[in-house]
Amino acid sequence: MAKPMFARRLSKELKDLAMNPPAGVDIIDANDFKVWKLGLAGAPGTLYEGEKFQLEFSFGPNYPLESPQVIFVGDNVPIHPHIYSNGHICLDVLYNHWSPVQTVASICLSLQSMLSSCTSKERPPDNATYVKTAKANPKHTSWAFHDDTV
Amino acid sequence: MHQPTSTPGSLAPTAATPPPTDASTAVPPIGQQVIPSGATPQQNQDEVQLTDEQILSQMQAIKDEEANAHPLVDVSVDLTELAMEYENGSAAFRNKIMNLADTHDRMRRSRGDGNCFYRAFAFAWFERVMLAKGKPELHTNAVKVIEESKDLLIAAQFELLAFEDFYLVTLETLQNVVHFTPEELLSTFQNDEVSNSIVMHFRLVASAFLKTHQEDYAPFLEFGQTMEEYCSMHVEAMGRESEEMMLIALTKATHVSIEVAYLSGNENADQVNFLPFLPDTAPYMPPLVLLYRPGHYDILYRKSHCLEGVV
Repeated sequence: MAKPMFARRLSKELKDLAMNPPAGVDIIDANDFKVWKLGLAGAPGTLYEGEKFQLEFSFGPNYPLESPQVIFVGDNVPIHPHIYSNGHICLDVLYNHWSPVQTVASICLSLQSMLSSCTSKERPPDNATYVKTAKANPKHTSWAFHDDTV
Repeated sequence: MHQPTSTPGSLAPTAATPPPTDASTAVPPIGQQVIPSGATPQQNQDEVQLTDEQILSQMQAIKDEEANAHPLVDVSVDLTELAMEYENGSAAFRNKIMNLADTHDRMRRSRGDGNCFYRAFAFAWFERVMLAKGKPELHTNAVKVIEESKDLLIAAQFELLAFEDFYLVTLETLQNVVHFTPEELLSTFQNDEVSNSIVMHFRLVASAFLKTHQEDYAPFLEFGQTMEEYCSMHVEAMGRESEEMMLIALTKATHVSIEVAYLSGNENADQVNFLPFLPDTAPYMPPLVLLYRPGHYDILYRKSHCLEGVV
């Protein structure tokens, strides 16, 4: 057990992501085990078709027992009722429903499906207030999960 | 610790609904997980509230204090220590403990971090294997069960990549356990990474068992909840407390029987009530004995099990 667990796990995940990336996902930058940047393409036949987004994963030393911090970064943050304009994402598996059986790839798939099921491109109703007061790390937000319809 | 504070409902195109006044953390309504769900961060304009960072740093301070006061698994102590906890308590507790002490002489505390059942179960089992000199079949059986748990997890559609590290740490610890001194076993279970990996593996084993035996256990779920949802919310996430269903699942999946001593304040009884959890196969060793007090599990040592060398 020379390597700490997060490093062992992330090297496996990285290899797997490089070899079998989920559809629409590509690695932009993953040169260490602290921060990875991934590309996420809007799925064909959805409101986000043709759009390209960037996701940033930050891992702590307790990954995967603790969840990574995941936000959208770059110029194009998806316009979606559960995604704030500062890139914060309201998705329960990223916070209090995290389980170590989740992976970077499975999170990308969850986000992909969250985008694909969207029927109306709009920001969360409280976007302005939230973005003004939110901390940089969305894990420091007390999320109240409301519904799964968009 | 957390109280549900959110109300299910769709997002209104107005400002976020203010949470109840004591809201500091949010717990989602039962029945939502892997699927993306919408939310609003909680806001409260009317009252002075702690910032998220203050709340988090307070929570961390509580955690640190807990960690310093209570190792993940503690040294075993004489049962008189349990009696001392209830010195000024009700006669119901004192009588039960006095009677319990006729047949049990020691106990070992497991940290109250929501993982206490899994950690207590794993420690008690591995310790039993370690101390069972002259009964190598206990070790062989245990190793076989853990090796086969990999297939169970795959059958339950867990991704090898996601569980392999926990599985390997658990298997390796169990393979080495016969060469451990009692002190080494204790320090292994006090090591965060190893100890939590083992907890995680046992959580996944319980979850995989429930998922692969849905027809038997789904009827016990709350209306509308799927086994996937239940397991993801209550079994697979670290720190989620265990319910009886997890004890049943783990017993059956590992073929290790458990007896749980329920210590309650029930005035009408002077004896602790023992509840057995039995595997489907004939038990090949005496049950592990756990002490249950509402919300918490510790390990008990039964005199007749004659475990020599417990530290």
